Amino acid sequence: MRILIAEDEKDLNRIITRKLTSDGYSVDSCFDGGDAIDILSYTDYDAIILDIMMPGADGFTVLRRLRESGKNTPVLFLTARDGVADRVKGLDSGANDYLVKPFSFEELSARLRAMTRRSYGFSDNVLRVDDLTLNSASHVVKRGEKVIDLSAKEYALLEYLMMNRGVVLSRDKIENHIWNFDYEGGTNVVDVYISYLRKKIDGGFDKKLIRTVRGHGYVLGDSDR
Amino acid sequence: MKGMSIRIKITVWFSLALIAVVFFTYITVISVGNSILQKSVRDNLITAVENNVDEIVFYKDVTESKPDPADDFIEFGNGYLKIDDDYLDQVNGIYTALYTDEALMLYGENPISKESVNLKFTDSQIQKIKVSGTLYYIFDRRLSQDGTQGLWLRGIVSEKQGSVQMSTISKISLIIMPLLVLLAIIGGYAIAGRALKPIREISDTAAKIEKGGDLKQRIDIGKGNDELHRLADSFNQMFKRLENAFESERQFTFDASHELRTPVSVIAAECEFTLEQERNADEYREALKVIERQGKKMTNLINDMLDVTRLETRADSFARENVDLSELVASTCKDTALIKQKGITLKYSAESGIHVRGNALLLSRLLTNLISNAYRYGVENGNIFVSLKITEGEALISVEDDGIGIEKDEQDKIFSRFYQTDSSRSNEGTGLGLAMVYEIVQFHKGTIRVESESGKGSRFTVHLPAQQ
Repeated sequence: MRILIAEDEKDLNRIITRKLTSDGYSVDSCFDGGDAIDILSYTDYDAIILDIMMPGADGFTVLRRLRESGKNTPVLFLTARDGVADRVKGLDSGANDYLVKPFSFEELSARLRAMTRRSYGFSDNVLRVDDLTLNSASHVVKRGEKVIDLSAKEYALLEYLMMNRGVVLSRDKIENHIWNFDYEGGTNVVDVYISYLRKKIDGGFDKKLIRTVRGHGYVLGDSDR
Repeated sequence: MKGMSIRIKITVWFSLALIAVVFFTYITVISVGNSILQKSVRDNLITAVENNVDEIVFYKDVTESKPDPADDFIEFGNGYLKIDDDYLDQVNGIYTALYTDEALMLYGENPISKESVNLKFTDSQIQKIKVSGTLYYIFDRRLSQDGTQGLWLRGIVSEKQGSVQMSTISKISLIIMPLLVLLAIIGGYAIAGRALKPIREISDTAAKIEKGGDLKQRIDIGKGNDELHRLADSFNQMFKRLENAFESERQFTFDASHELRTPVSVIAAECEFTLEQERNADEYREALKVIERQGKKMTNLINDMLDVTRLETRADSFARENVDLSELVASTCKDTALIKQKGITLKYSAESGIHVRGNALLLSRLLTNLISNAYRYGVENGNIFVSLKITEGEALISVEDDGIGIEKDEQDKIFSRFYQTDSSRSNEGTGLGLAMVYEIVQFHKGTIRVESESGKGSRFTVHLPAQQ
């Protein structure tokens, strides 16, 4: 799950980035509204955390430009403005959620989870494909009754595949959603992680859930095509 | 009387007073009137009797008297008594009767002849006799004309003759006076209500403010120049001052909570993240550095906010004295020039002997804020130039830099509290430096101007009235 953070307070930006990275998200950050508009014009994110008061362009402008470009990426406003009028304005301008500073990471994480699963059309924290379950709150993954231990990246990859179950995902798309700009690995990083994941998810089970679609990419669960 | 409204108290008090006045007036009128009436009754009695005296004439011969058919004649002694028809037996309740010395009534009427028969005749004297509870006045007159000697005219009148009139007066009084009193009470009650209405307005408004805390309420009792209107005006002025004070307090609280949110959230987030698991020494040190930095930011913010608020609301707490501005500018510039930031060079020129009336601490704060602003928005290896001179009785301080400058449309907003231009956000500044500069200039009754061009630099010019 790839997330963009636009927040001009450098310390705050840094700590949110570190926290979300350690939670398994791939995170990009910028300190300026103008930069955020640029980045959003060529990158797709699963969620965006926006400060309202920023140099370059304020959060409202960034959000407006995003929606104008036809993207429905969930947006969370993170701001010091706590008035009811500010909240209403924030939500009415197209934000999906609104969190007032100071906040707790627990709440920020929960809101991010809620926002992203809603955008993928789920209302439950537990994703299911066949007998494979993934709890996005506790990060517990099970195949049947067997608990599967995953690294942060493997978890992120599986979550992304499960959110898009039945949809064939290209290597590029997967790479863009799981790895951020800082990653400068080889192009086969997706294949490598898919193979790790296969061993843990499908190893020892008759029914293989992760399938390779030749020339296209990978799919989890039954493909539509 | 305790616990009653003033309106009731006033009404009760003047009602009682009015009733007392009316009561004593009534008593006085009745008693004085009575004695006056008694006197007039007696006077009337004397007059009536005296008038009748002339109507009785003695004639030896009837023919001498040129009789009128209405006259009466009574045989008396060796002649006749002619009673003229003008003789009045009874007028206004006064009876007159003609008697002999032996108390034999010859003519006229006496309603109490039986009771008064033993009353001796006394010439030209008023006597009193009580008959079955009623007092009668009796006035006797001895006739002294020829031939009428030995005859008496006796006038009788009942004192009730006065009492009848008296009771009419008292009856009228008893009906009209209470009515008047009632009218006065109702009218007084109404007027007291009207007169006290402004006070009620005042207390109602005060109560509303007390209950709802809405200091926007004002007392509206219309126009006027009496004591109550002046009182209402004073109250309104007080409410206005209170409202302003509360407003700036509220603004301060709002600003404080708003501006402190970001550093607080950084500290909270940093702690939450760091404490999640065991970290190494470097990680802990890094976290503490962040917390320290944010803590300093909060301290600066709080100090600046308190200073600005103090300047805004309690400016009079700063003493005014004669300040050697030349000395102040020179020493401040000398000190700050030592701090090498971004390789910026600070130069200054200050004319000597310029004095202003003001507060040295505030003036040095003004200068420091302007200079640190110039450093903050200066470019690497830039220049700052501070000058002080005197023109037309005004001390002129200017702080000039060749830094990033300020956009035209932002130039008039930079003196507002917490306003930060886009380019200055996420900087060290608290957003209060220039607001404080503005307040300090106001305190010294001066003016401040900014000339700036984006990308080229800014010049702040402060005019202060100089001491001669």
